[in-house]
Amino acid sequence: MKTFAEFDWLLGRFLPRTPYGRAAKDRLLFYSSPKELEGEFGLTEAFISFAAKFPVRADKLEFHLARIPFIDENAPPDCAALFCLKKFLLNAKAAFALLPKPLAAALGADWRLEGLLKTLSRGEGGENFHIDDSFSPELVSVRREIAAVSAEIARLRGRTLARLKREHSLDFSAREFIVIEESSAAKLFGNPDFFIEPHDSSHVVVRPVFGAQYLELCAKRDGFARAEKREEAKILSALARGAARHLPEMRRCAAAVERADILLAKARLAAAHGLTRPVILKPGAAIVIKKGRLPPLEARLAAEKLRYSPLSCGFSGRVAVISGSNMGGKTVALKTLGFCQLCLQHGFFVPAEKYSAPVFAAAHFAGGGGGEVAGLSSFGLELHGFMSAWKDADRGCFILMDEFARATNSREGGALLSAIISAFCAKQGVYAFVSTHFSGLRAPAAYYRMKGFDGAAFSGHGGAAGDLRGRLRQINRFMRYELAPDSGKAANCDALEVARLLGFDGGIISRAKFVLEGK
Amino acid sequence: MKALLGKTVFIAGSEKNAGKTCFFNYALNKLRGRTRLAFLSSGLDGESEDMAFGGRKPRVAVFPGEIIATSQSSLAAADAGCEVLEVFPAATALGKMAVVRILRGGFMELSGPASNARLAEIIASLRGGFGAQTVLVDGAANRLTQLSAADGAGFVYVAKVERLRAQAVADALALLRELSELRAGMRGLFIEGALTPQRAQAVPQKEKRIVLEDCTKVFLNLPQWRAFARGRKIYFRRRFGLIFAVANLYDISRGRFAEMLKDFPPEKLVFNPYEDIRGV
Repeated sequence: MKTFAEFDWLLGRFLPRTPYGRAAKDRLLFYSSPKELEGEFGLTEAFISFAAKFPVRADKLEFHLARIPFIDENAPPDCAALFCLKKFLLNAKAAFALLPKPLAAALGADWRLEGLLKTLSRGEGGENFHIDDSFSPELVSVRREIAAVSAEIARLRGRTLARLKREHSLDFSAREFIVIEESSAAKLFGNPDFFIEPHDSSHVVVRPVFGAQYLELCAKRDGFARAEKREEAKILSALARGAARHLPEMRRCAAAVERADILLAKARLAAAHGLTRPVILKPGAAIVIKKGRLPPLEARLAAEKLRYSPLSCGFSGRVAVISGSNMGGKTVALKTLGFCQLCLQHGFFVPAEKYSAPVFAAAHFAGGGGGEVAGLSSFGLELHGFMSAWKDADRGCFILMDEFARATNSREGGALLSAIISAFCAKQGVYAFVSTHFSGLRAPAAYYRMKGFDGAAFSGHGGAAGDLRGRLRQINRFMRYELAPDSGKAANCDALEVARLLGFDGGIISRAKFVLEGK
Repeated sequence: MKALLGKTVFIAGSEKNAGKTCFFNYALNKLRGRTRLAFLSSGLDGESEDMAFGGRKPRVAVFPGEIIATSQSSLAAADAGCEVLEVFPAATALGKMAVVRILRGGFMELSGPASNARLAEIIASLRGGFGAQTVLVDGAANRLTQLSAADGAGFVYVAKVERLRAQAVADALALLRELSELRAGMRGLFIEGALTPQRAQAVPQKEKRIVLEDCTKVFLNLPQWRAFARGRKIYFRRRFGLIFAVANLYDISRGRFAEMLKDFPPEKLVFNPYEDIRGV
């Protein structure tokens, strides 16, 4: 259903900022409980009005959410892990503080980790993390030793390099070694100030030797550095143990972050694309759509400067059969319904002035477009799609069928479709929308047709001409993409007109008309 | 080293042990105090290149205030003191990549992210969030593809020039020079991805304007490139400039190698910066 309804358009614009929100997006909950959905819509509405009333606060909230990292509960206790924890806490605290109180309460976003944050913030109030001296007196002492011995090493090194430059004109200040011709280096051989090794057949590599005292100091520094690491490891373990004691609270905090992130992203999406809160109906009630839009198509048509007609219809029953002209908008009508229903079921607002529908346990596109199954023809794929949908019929199911059985002979196809529609009608939990070109279907459904080509308006216009783009523009201009109850009186007679508009051979069209009239 | 200031510079090498990391350290020493410096390695997951030759990759001296990106495990092994400024979510074999500011000088092993996309993300954060003016990237040997991690980056090519392979290195440098002189452009037949000898052969001769992604996608040798480029105007969508080349000479004189390079601009060629030719 998602592919048919082009639902990825919406998902591509639904942008949670935290790793928790993005994981929730990947899971994409399909709600089947009206109560849960009403809760989700209520909170989305609250976030929309929060963002409208306090735009700067909402931006700040988004900023802090975007800075929240994922906390890996199994991460080894090192500086990087504790940095992430501190950054998480700091930004979650700031995000919670920005939420209006009722919203924070509804999300469980109350701040209870101040103690842990304070512990991690010793010596550094921002997001940065380091093991500050204040964590342990032993650390202060060993770091003092490191600083002292490092200064001594630097002094000794500086003195040595200055002497080598003075005595031998060799400048090692930016170089660890120097390459010189072997003949020039001859006088350095045997000098304890240098370590010399071959470079190639005529050059040698000369390195300065800083002496035994230097090596002793380096070894001393290494010893202190190891002691510092041991002390730091103790502190890191203690901090990690301390954090582990707050694990349940941290999980609660992460859950609140996820909810705030998801709801703000849904609110942003609704505001950016004019989405409205859908109305959830009781099972059995008929679906109503008013000015429903298929945003990806709307965007494509806008790019081509073509007219877009939203869909409006109050369906009179659970099962609707939609017929109409070629290129008359049947498929788009189904896609629009599917898009809106998927929005509703996934807890999003809908692209319609009004959309009222019940909640279902499943939503299916029972057609051939659901991917490939080895060995199945297009008709086989359609049957396969239908059978998958039919399995959910008893649970309550929303089904779309687009020109089912188009790939088989019309007599048997029509009979099969009649039987399927009758079966849908007999199942109380099934809502189905079926587009077809078959006429004379015998099933107790509600019948609709797209109004189709407005020949009267077109006749005064003067005919079609130009390239394919121009011709499509003509069709778009004179096609009435409106859904109306089908009285059964109008005949499907737009195919030849559409063929003519597309520039089809006039002679062939005349012959077809001749055949149609039985001459 | 003025040419490196204010840029994102990849240090690429012709092969293992070309002297790339030595030059990286040399450049760091020369740039310190002249620019807000950040540096990192582009080595892939655990690819500590000298491990291949039996030794650990050399550690880099780091000084207070410098911004460095490296992995969690390299951080744990460092004797320098630092504060963590950022941790990136994607993990490598050596842990997650972190950006740190050095608080106390010492030594640190540099290890890099697993992909060019991650590398780009880190470089962007070093230049953006952490305000680095010059970013030095110790690239993996012979992997110019890493350049594509940073728009507008330049590179220094460090070549090991041995007498018996000198002509091959000269050809490689000539190719790099020719590629880095091409201009940016969008109009023409766009060839997406690698330009291999097979793909080059398949491009119809009538196509006279060709657009390639960037110079890292050219997998031709010098004669193949010249045959492909003859009579054509070739553009890159993204341009990476060769800032200069460093030639570390072994058993070959400067004069002899310079002769092989013919029209390579002398201002773009640095002979072994570790060599002292003044005598002792």
